[in-house]
Amino acid sequence: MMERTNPTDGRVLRAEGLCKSYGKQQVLHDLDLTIEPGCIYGLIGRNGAGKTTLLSILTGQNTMDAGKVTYGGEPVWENPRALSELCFARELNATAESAQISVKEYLYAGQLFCPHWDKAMADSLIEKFGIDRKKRIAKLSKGQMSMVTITAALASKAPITILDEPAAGLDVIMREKFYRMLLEEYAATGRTFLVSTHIIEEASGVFERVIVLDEGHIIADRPTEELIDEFRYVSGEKTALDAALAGHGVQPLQVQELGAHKMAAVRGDARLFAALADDPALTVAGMNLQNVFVALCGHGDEEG
Amino acid sequence: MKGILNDQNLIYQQIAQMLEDGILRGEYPEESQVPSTNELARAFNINPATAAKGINRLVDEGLLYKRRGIGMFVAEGALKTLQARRRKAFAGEQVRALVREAMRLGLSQEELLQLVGDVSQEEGLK
Amino acid sequence: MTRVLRLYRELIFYTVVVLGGFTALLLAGIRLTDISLFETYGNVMSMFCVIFPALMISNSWATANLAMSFGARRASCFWSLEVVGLLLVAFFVGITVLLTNLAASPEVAPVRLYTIPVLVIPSISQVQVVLFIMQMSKGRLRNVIWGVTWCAGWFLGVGIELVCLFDDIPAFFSPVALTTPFWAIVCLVFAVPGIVFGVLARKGMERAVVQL
Repeated sequence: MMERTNPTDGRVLRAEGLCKSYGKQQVLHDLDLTIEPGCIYGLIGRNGAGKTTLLSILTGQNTMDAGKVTYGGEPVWENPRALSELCFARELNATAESAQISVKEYLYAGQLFCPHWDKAMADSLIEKFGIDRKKRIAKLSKGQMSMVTITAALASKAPITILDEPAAGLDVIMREKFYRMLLEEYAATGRTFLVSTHIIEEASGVFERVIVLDEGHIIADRPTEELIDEFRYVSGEKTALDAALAGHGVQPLQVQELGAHKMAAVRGDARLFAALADDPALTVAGMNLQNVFVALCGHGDEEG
Repeated sequence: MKGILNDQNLIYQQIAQMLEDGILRGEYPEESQVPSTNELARAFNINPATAAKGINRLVDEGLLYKRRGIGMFVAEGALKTLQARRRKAFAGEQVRALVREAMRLGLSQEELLQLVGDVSQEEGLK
Repeated sequence: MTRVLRLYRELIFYTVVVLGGFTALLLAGIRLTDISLFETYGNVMSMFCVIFPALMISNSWATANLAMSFGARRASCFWSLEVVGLLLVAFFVGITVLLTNLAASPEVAPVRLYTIPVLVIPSISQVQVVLFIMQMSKGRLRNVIWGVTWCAGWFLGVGIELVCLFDDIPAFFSPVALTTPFWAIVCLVFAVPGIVFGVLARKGMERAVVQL
């Protein structure tokens, strides 16, 4: 994590034992999460995994059935200090009641409630994005809605800024621009960012730590590269591969057979991978974050 | 240009590798400055912490050192250190891969050595 | 709370400008022309008091959500909505009293000061009911409460209308004031759900989920 000249101790956002159900369906199960200052976190998960619910509970905008969320040790709920230091840039959509609000009004609200709001930055970003401030949110394209959200998130200058699917609707070039903007802001201020996304691979270089949410459970919360380093693709002749994996007592997470050739996604440590790599019958290759995510969360979707 | 980085290796390792290759090739002579963490982060659109990890690996290996307020510099003797280290790994990695591929192709040891000799002559290796 | 109120500045501004202008237009029409249309509208102003503030507040949930999504406290939003609702009621009653008294026309019954409570109490109650309804997700119950509120409002409005209009109304209904048992009971009947829903609205607000 970056060393900052003004230390932000006591600015830890912590969730403990979060449970949340919608009716009979339990969406979050006994979830623990700590967001430390000065880091860019990625929150990745499938659609419906509970990302938005989790984020809205973390920022005191949704209720929880059990557990607690604290910021600097104090509960976040209806807490002016916490609320002023957290910014939740929610995904906008055209069907919501509030979509009749104009971009200008939306940004004005940001200015009113975010004590560190940088109006010059907001204005310059909106201009750079080429968005008409007088337009209602419902009349914007999906990409423009994302740009408005991004503007609010960056201009808020909040110590902890949470972005929900900021890249949704942006084309690949705009996405690259967004990551660049995010990294520049981070480099300049050391603010904490928590970005939820399901566009995983592009963003993996941006995240210092990644949190994987699967069906309401956090199944990984690690530095990105450490997590990726625990996974490899191992491939080779079918019987050789099976024998090697069995020999090490390893169950693959995913397998794909192609005639006599078999490929497997394997989780383990450096020792295991070195041993497998030594085997001339096997090829060991690295995975990227997206591959890791699919290996972890793709269960139940295997064909054949 | 994040596209230059590959999927197969961790980003910080690739950054470290890139800098090492630069030192070996003479792009970064001893006592010259290497790109800073922020410059690397900006060039590849990655988190500065990741870039820093790559640089720190080289610092830990004694290949780079920090001049406070200025930046990271190639240490004296870095070239020799690097060559020695890479030589050690050479046998275990590149040579082993070469031999295995030769085995897959059904070459004998003699045939392989012959090929090595031919290519060495072409490339001017004495 | 002042910050949330600032988000309502447009609503308040347009209300004052549009309805103030409309009232001024009616007044001019009544006093300067013989067109009876103006008088008709002048008469129904008292009816609007009981309905319009509630109607206008019903569109403001989105604004409250916007404030909360940027970190405004729920309590601030609730009290801001109450303040805006009360301001709207006060404004409507005010222009009604002004219009009807300045009209100086035999066709437009002046709203006397003692009638004001009979206008204000149900209007505020309607606002409380609407504040409660806004938090409910759209569903049958919501529509039912909405429908009942509306009908009640119209009934009362029309009732006051008729009573103000006709001279030879039985003493039972006259004057339209809290001193008349009939109207005192009507106001009580309207005030009770108002208080109940107001409390329910406050309670509901404590656990409101922000939806943007």
